[in-house]
Amino acid sequence: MKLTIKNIFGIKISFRILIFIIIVIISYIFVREIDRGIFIIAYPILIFGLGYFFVFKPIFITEKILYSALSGDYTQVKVLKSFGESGDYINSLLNRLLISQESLNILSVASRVITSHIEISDIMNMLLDLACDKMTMPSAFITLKDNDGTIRIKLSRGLSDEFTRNFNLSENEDFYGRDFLTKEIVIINNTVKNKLSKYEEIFLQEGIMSFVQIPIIVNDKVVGTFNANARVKGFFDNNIVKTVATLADYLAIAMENYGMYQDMQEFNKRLELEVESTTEELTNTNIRLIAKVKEMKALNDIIFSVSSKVDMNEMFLAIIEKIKIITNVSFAGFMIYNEHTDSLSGYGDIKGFELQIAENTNSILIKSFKNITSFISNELFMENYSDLKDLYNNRRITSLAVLPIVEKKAIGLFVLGNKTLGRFSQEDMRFLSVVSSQISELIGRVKLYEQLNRRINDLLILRDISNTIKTEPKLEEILEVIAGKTVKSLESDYAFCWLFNKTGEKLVPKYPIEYINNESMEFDVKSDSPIIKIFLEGKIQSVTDIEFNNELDDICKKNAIKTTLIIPLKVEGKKIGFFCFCSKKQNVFNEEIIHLADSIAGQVAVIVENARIHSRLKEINVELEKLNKVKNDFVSMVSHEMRTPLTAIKGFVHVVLNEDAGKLNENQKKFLGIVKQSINHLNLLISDFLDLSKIERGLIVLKLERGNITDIVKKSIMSNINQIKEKEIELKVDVDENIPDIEIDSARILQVFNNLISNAIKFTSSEGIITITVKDKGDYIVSSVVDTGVGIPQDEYQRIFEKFYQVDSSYTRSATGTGLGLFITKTIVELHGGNIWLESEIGHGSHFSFLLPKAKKSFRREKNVQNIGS
Amino acid sequence: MYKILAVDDDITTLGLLEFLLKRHNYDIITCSNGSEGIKAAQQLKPKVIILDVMMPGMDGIEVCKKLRALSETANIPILFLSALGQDIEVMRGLMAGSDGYIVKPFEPEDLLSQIKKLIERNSNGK
Repeated sequence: MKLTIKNIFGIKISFRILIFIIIVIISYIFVREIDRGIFIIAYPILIFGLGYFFVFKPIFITEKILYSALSGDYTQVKVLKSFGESGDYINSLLNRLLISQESLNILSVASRVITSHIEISDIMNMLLDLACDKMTMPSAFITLKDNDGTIRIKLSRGLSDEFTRNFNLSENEDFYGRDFLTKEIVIINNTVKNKLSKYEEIFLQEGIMSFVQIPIIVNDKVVGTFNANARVKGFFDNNIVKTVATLADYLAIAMENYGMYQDMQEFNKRLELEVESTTEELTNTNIRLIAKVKEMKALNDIIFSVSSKVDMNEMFLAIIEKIKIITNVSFAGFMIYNEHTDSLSGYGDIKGFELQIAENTNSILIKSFKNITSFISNELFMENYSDLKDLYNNRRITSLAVLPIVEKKAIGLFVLGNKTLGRFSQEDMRFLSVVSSQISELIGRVKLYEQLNRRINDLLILRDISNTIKTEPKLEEILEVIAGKTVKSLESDYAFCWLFNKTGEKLVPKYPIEYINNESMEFDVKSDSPIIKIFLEGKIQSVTDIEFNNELDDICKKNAIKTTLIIPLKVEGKKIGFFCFCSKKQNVFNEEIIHLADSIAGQVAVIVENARIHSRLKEINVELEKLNKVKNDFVSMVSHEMRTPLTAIKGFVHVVLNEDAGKLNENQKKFLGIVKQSINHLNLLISDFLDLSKIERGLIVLKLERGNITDIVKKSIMSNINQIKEKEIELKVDVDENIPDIEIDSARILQVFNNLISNAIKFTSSEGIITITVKDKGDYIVSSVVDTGVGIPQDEYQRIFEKFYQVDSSYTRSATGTGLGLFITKTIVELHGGNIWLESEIGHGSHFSFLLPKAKKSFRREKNVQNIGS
Repeated sequence: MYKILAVDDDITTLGLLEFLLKRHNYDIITCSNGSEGIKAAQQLKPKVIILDVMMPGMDGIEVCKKLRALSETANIPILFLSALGQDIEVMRGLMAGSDGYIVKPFEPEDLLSQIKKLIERNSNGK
């Protein structure tokens, strides 16, 4: 029925209007008659009143109803009842509108619900509430497919428990001739009419006359149904079905969403877990990284704080300090190996701990050191090792870590104890082993530095010593310098030195000077004195409270000497004496000092020995000089003594030969002539002797003047002519003309010729030939004397010029002379810058030649002849 | 006749000198030690003094120096006659202020010619 004004108001409205109009007309007619005055007043009132009640109020009311209905307020609906059929019609329309409105509301609520996060079961409840309460359906239920494939009621409203329990369908079961799996909406508006099979009865029991079944489709699959039931037939028209279908759709969407949401949640959770675990891993890694960095920083810290230290002790202490902080231990130290004593000494907190390697058998520290292994124990009280027991009992160490420090070889141990938090773990050991390898590097460096330092120190001391030693030092001075320089470096207060005497039986004091001739301070090498015993062992030793067994003991007592360092001095393995350094301090001669003493000892021994040798040499020299002087004086005296009578002899022979003392007969002349020659010969001998001594003293000085060799040769021949004649030797002279004058010591050159000629005469038998030649050879003048005598064997060519040398007398018949002549001759020639040599053949005679340089510069004017004749 | 003073501790030498110089017309005075010699030189003012070096007491070098120091004898030529013939000794002798040095044993000619030279030189110098 169309909703027109006519339909709404029906006849009644148009009827009312008609009546109203009639009344108006009638009343007009009526009232007009009564009174004009009242008519004017009452008529409008009447019209108005009638009009209101008859016409307008219904219209107003209807408008109001329509308006309120349209605006959603349904409270005015009751009024419509008085309007009859049209009213009923309007009512039903309004109802429908209401329902639509409600549906819209429900749907909007439902949609809101679905978009917010609520459990599916809540949604289902809400939808069922909507369906049953708002849509006034008597019952509704939702079925869902279970995991086993059976379809069961999940939620219901307005149904009996029995129904709910009994309703189960299997997937493929035919329901109303249709598969459950079809996605079709089933509308049954008359249950009886349609065949419901086994459910027929159930439905009828519940009073369900019509129902609608909407499949819930999630992800394109039917997961259940939304069933709405009514008790009347034909309840479900299109609109209601649409609404319910929409609800079911919403439920499907919600379920889909929920499913997705679940999935998402699941996914999220997994992601979270993953993220968590990844985060955990990262955190762990981070933590480890940080720990590593901390470790490195700690290591760096240690190294940095130690790198500036060059003293081993300081370095150890610095490391220990740092380690304690970094590794949280309360006890840390080093055990360092000392080669000299073959023991491990403690540094740092373990100071005072001394272990002899050879002795200790039950020591874990020694074991670790020897085997280069590390050791941990967190229960020291349970250990059996002696040193651990010691540490536990005496120093309250409960946990201990020991690591070897290796620098080329094991040099010690790194010892840590009493970790303040917990126990020593493998992680700790790992870190500590890194630290100990760094330490060994550092130690290596420090050792090198120390070695270098020591070396430099030693060298400085030695340099000091050698600097202050003058070129010809006396032994006492040297000892003074050495003692002075080393007393301090060796941390001592007094120094003494004993050296072997000449016979090597006694050790006599040589330093300090005041004790030098003190016999009571001497030591017999065979004595039992403890000092001698130590000295004989030959090693540097430090002795406490030594006994000298002589007055030194008093001196030591007076000066409170505590320790003495005995340094034997050896040169090429041979002991020459020893130094004694005394100190007032105890335990002052440590490894460093002993090392220094050792390196100095060798040098000092050499210096001292040198000085001794030097002073002995000097003594000998002095004696030799004395001896020489005596000899020379003797020679001078002898020659003087011999020459004095010679003077008279020669003189008077000359006088007599001159016939100043009377006329002489031939024989007298002859005999005296011989005497004269002999005198000259004797004189020559004495001269030779004197010359020799001069040569030896280096005292021959040439008087160089212009001289002429030709003249000299002549003179020489003249002095020897008699002998030549006597022996009937033929003389050949071949002297160049115009031999220039040269700078020579004429007397000496004369001596040379005399010597050569007289030798020639001596060794030439009668009727031999002597040839004398002098040739000008440019820069040189070469002279030679050749005889036809016995000659000289070749292997003696050099030796004939030697002092006192005489040719094997078997070759000569009359070997006379001192053997000095040729030596002196050679000396003279060489002093002139010349040379003399021999060419000779046995049996063919000798050929002596010598050259003399013309030029001045080859002359050695005044020369100390020291090496001649060697 | 020129006066010649000879100072030597050895009588044989003195004997020889005496004969030689007398033979050559010199008037010779002999002394056997240094101090005597100096006195004699001061008194006699000889033309030449022949002086030995090695003498007991004052040696010839000393005598020579002393003679040179004294005004009366400063200009008398002195001739050393000595067995010490080594260069340094000769040098010593010459540096002491002597005018010549002859080594024993000597060639009488050498001695005589030296004396002659010295006398001639001195007289010319004057």
